[in-house]
Amino acid sequence: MMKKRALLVDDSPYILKTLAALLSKHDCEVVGQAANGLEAVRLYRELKPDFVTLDLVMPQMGGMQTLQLLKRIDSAARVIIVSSMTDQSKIVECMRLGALHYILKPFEEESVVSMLRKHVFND
Amino acid sequence: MINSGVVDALTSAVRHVLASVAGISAELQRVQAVTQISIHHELCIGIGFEGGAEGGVYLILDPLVAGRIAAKMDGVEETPDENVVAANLMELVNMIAGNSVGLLAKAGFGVAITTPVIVREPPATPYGAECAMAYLQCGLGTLKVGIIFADLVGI
Repeated sequence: MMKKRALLVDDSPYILKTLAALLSKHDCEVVGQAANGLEAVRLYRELKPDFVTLDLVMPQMGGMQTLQLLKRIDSAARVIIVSSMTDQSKIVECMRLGALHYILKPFEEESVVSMLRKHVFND
Repeated sequence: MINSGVVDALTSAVRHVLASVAGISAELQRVQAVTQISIHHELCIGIGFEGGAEGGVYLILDPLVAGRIAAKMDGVEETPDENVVAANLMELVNMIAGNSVGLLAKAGFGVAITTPVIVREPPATPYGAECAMAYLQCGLGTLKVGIIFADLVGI
């Protein structure tokens, strides 16, 4: 199976490390990591990943604005929000802006695998 | 005293997040009204609330306990170096605050959160805000959760 190329965006080294280890176990290659939205947009243009995991609360440029920019650059961008924010209105807003899925932190491996099947490998 | 819905939301989030990311079970021992969040040779990570209420939540713990929690988060035996401990604990606090946002909304407070920071000096309690310290006990020791909260509608 062709590995799917992932760009991980989160200001937490812990989350980057945990997600990278998990995705690598499930036929994904982490091609880039960014700690804020500005870096994410630059890396997206350069790397053209198959999908992006995106945190919401980050310094410099938060996830909402990043999501909008990514969708403007590439309307087909596959963006998965990975956030601890349990606010329903925030979740609805992300989906309205074009996010494919919303994973709540702390996450279980199963929820990430199920997201991969549905939105990345399109089983 | 701070609205009990706020304290419940935050302490529930602490227990849920600790169990999920580090497999640590913690029990709430007591909640005490205080005039200020104090730090005594402890590691303190704080995160702010903005919006329908203002304030912050502070996880305060002995550096050795912080090291053990960080190791459990990484699934390793040895205590990681202090940068990794700080990064792991900051994400822990981020998850606690983020998870409490939905519970706070149910308690009538629509808030957003800031990014977590290491707090070196006791944070000031703004005029009109209330302060509480929740004490949670886990197998590794005591965790203190400081809460400063100002219900903007109530001021």
